[in-house]
This record gives sequence, structure tokens and C-alpha cells, in this order.
Amino acid sequence: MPWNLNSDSPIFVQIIEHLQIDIVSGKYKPGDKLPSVRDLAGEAGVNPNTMQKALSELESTGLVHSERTSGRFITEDDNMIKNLRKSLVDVQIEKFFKSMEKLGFTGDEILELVKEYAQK
Amino acid sequence: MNNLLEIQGLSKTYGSVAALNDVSLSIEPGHIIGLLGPNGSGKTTLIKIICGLLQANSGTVLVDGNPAGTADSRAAISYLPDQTYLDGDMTIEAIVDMFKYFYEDFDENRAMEMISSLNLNPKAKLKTLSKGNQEKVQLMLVMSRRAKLYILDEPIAGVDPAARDYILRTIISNYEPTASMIIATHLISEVEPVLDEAIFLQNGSIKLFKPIDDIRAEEGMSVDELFREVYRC
Amino acid sequence: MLGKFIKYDLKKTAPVMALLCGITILLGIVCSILQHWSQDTEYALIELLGLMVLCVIAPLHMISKYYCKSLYTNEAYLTYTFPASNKVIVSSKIIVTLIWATIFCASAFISLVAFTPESIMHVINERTDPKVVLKIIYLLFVMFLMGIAGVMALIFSICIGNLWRNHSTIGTILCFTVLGFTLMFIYMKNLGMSVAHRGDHFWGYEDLFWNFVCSIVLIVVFFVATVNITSKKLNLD
Repeated sequence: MPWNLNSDSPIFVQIIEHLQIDIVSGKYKPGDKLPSVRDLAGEAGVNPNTMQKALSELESTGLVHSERTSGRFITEDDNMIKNLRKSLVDVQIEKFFKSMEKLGFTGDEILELVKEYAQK
Repeated sequence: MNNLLEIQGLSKTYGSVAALNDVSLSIEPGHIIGLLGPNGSGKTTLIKIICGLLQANSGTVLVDGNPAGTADSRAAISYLPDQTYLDGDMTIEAIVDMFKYFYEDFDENRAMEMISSLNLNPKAKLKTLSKGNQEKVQLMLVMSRRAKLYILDEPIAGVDPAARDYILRTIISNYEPTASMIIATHLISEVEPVLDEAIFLQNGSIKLFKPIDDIRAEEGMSVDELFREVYRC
Repeated sequence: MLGKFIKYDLKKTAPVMALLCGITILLGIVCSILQHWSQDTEYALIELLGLMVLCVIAPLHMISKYYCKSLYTNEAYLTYTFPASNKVIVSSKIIVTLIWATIFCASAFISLVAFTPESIMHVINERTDPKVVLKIIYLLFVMFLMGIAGVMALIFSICIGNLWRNHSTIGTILCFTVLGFTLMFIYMKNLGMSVAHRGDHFWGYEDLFWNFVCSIVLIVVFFVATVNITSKKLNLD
């Protein structure tokens, strides 16, 4: 099944986000070998050039590195992955707070509601 | 690097109607390009001229350096027309043999692979297959050629969603940096993620020729949405 | 590429055409055998009628199921995307049609000979003047060429007729009718002229000479014209 891509942002940006989530969630573990660009593109249902662009971006941040003849590998740097996880979570939390504020809740009310939900 | 497709000042009129109006276009190898436009915008006319099936009134078309309609330019193109064009009485096997006989760049192994992955019987006659399967066979033949320029005219129209996934995956896996693909379609949202660039054709002129992500970044919407806006009735 | 096209198409059309030619020859043999046994003259009629029917079926089949189908139907999308120029493609179709026309004519001739083996025996036994035999061969050959010119006229008519997209059938029929009458006229005129020239009734090579020349010229002209017009005016809808 092709990845779920929305129509808002550039495709290569969405590919990067998708891959980051895959890394953070453990689908790709540290040190794992990534499939080839062509296979990944086929899986995602996207243009191979766009996939290549996204992977190069990830390489420049260090999340992924390429060994000349063997392909691309996820970094073994656990700290980097932890930091990425934190920043992704921060984005989600910020989104959550923004939409709750739109509904008219204050910061304290939000914390209460979250506690209630977590205890269910 | 030599451009795969070089079109200069192409015009085609039918009586008083200009189907193509001074069209110029360059395509390099390694790109998958969408040719988008409403009916009557000139997509099919442009494709037929590139393939040498139609004569232009003026302008030049060079495919890998060869004028359109010559043997060398046809050898470089793998074309999937919008309709059935094969003899229904032939078996799949016979058609594969025919392609192998006439085209030097035909990859028989790839063809047989695709036939078996589609669970088709090579000894079946084309006319006994369902419409969806017939279209897949035609696509399989086009994709089994190691051509320089693939031109697909509406490859996923009239095909169920599962088959569309298969076709798009096949297009992606067939990608070569030395070849390019032109996909003419009106099903833009399905095809958009697969494209490098999009060409908008309207009333025989090119209105737009930009990378997909550039359009998304600049216009703040997908190509599909931009298309609906540009061509709003 | 031209050779490749011709070879492939001959193989593909062989089953039906070889069958038709075979039936033609068989007709002659069967009628001949039956004639011998029953001494009726109706078998001559059957042979002739049979040949006439086959002479209509064979070219019709070639032209509609092969020539027109591959150049003027959806199949044209396949034919014209093979790696060859338009001229080579059209030429190959015409050449294959003419090859089968020739083989069929030969079959018809064999059929007639099979039907009247006595005529051959007579020629051999009487040790007929070889010059007469040559004249007969020449006559048959010129008739053959005139037939081929007729086939080429049809092919040319189809080419012209298809220049008018929506009225191609009418255009073809019109063109062929005009050409048909013109050809008849030319042939008769040639015969008349040479007879008038000579004055007596013993025919010689000169009688058919102009028909011989005209046929060859027409065949070449129709061939070149069809190939060039079809190539330049190619317009698949």
C-alpha cells in the first residue's frame, strides 16, 4: 500500500517525516539497512528522485549514512534518535495544545483532562 | 547530456482549429513527467506527433536526436496508446514473441516475470482476458522494453484501484536514470506522487512546466488542486 | 527491417493463404478426375465458377484481413510504432500482398492445367513450335501483370480513399471504379491500336507489348504513389 500523503506540503518533506517516524517507532532499528531507493520509492508510491532527495536530506542530518557499496544504514547514535523522538513529540504536543486552545480550554484545564484520559 | 526530447515551435491545426500552438519543450533523461490537461487541450495530438503517427504543420521534434517518425526515433520510444491496439486472436506468448522479434531492446525475462506475477496464462488469447487484464498485458509489453522514452496515455483510467497500485508500482520500479517517462492523464491525484514534473497543457499551449514539489511549495496546494483551479469550468 | 517485416507477415498470413491456394489447386485436380469418370461438361463449369469464387475470396481476404486491418484500424497503432520508417512499413505490406497474389495466380494456373492435362500432353507430344509456347507464356505473363496492376490500383484507391477520414469507403470505391474503367480503356486501346497497325489477324508479341509496358509502369507508379502518400499523410485518429 502506498504511503498516505496529503496534498498540503511538498512530497519529499512528507517522506522525511514518514521515515523519521519509522526510525523513532523502531520499525527501522539503529544500524538497520534501509531498502534501496527504488524499493522504498515503490513501497511509498513515490518518484525515485523524490525519495533520493529525502534520503539525502536525512543523510545530511546524520540520521542516515551511506556505505559506498552496501547501501544506506540508520545511524547507531541512540542520542540522536532520542532527540529526534523528543522533537517529534514536541511538535505533536504543540499541535494538540493549539487545537485544544481553539476549543477554548486553558492550560490547566488541558492538563486535568489529559490526566483523566490517561487513567481510564 | 543530449536531451531525450527536444520540441521547437510545434504547431498543428485541424482546419481552422489550432490543436497545438507553437509548443516548445525539452526533456532530459531520468524524469517522470505528467502531461496534464482537459480533453481537447492537445495532449493526444502532442503524443501522436512525437510517436510519428501524425504530421505537424510546423516545428521540429527530435527524439534522442532523431526526427519524429524515423526508425531510430521509434526505436527509442515505448508507447502505450489509450486504446486496445493488439490483435485479440493472438496469444500472450505470440505477442511477446512478436515484440522480441521486432524490438532489440525487449526484455523477455521481465515480460515473463510480469506475466506470472499477474497470474496470466501465456497461452491465453488476448480476447479471452478481462478488460483490466488486457490493459495490464499492454502495459507489461511497454514496460518490458528498455527504451529511452516511455509515453503512457492514460495508463490507469478505467482500471480498478488495486490494479492502479500495481501499475504505479511498476512504473516506479521501471525507472532508469537514462530514460524518461511521459504520463498523460486526468487522474492527477493518484499519479502526482510518482511525477518529477508536471506540464499543464491548455488550448494547445504549455501553461506550466514545473517540479511537483515546487508547485506545492509555491502555490501551497497539490498539483491536483491547482489543476482544478486553473481549469475551473 | 523491411526483410523482417516481410518474413514475419508471410508467416502470419501463410495458414489462410496457403489453404486458399491449396484449395484452388485441389479444385482443378478433383474436377479433372471427376470429368474423366463422368464425361460431363458440367465439371468445366464447376472448375470455372470455383476459380471465379476463389479469385474474389483470396484478394478480398488479403486486402481486408491483412492490408487494411494492419494499416487502417486500431492495429495501426502497433504497426506504425515498430522501429521503421513509414515507407518501409507500407512497402512491406504491399510486397507481402503482391507475393501472395503471385502465388495465388500460379495456383490458379496450376489448377487449370490440372483440369486439362491433355492440353499439356498435346503440346509436348505434338512437339509444338517452341515459339508458340513462348507466345502463350508471354500472353499469360502479361495477363498476370495486368491482374497485379489491378491489385495495385485497389491498393492505391484505398490510400486515396482514406485521405477523407469520414468517407473513406466511398472514396475508395469511387477511385477504384474510375481507375478500373481507365485501365480497361487503356488495355483495349493498346490492343486495338496494335491490331489496326498490323492490319492482319495473326497476333504477335507487339499486340501485348504496350499492355506489358503499361502494366509495369502502372504497378510502379501505384506502388511509389501509395508509399509516399501514406507516409506523408499519416494521421491516426
